[in-house]
Amino acid sequence: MNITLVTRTPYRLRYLCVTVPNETGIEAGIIPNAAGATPDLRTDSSLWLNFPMNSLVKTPAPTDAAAQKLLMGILQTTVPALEIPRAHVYITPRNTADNANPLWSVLAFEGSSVMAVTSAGFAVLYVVGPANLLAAPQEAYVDIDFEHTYDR
Amino acid sequence: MAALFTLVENTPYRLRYLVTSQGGSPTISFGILVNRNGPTPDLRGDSNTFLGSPMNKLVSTPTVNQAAARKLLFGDSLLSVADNETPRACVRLTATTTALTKSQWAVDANEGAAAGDPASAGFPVLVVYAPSIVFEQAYLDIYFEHTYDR
Repeated sequence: MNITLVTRTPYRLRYLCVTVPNETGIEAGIIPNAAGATPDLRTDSSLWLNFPMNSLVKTPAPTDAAAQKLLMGILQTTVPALEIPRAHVYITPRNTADNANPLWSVLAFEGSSVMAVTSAGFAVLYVVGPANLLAAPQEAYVDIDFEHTYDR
Repeated sequence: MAALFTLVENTPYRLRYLVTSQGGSPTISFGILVNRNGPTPDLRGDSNTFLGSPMNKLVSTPTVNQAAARKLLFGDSLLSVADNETPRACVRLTATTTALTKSQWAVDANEGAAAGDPASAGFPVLVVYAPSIVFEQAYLDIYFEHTYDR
């Protein structure tokens, strides 16, 4: 899967994910968090160094649950949790095809748990796209939105 | 048209449509949310409720090609510090029903005539790909990014 940063602000990152044609099984890609070359959550947000998105992705996430709490707001349900920074992640397909399956999906993980060893201890995004021997590349946007006030 | 659009929510910064698939053949079919400055559903027509609002100004911006339409409605290629001052929207599509279907909901932006609607020529439109099953539904949201710090 080819992943390209297409939009960034101090509070948002958007990536375009494009599948490789004629793949079988599933097609997956990782947006790492290793301060490496783009696409990389830390590198791409560092244009706005120490702004909310950059601070968020630099926060250690030792487990999958911690990564999902950080990047997807999962289990942030109590009143005290309102003050905890978090993001929301969305995926929006840009095209489709006959027999385009599996469906696009995205989930946050701790880096090493999805074999992104250079991102160990930090939150990464694992993106799955349609394969099924499709001849045309399938495309989707992945958005990471920082929730910069809880009343939003 | 393979998809019908119904405006369900309208603010100076956001438009939300309920999209309903019409099914039929071929498997991949699409509907165009037009920009003719006409009756609903229409990006300009609907945003005219708040004439001069950020959303209204955005969808009234002339657009010469698909790249320009994607920059305006999806924020594509807005990467630098200077780009933060450029108005843009964010578009999302959220399915509300599900069924066994051969294709997925998807949305793209294009210049009106290039997308297949000559009456929208020179303005951005949204092309929504709908599943082949009739009466499948999704919400289409167009959010104006009214400050870059959001």
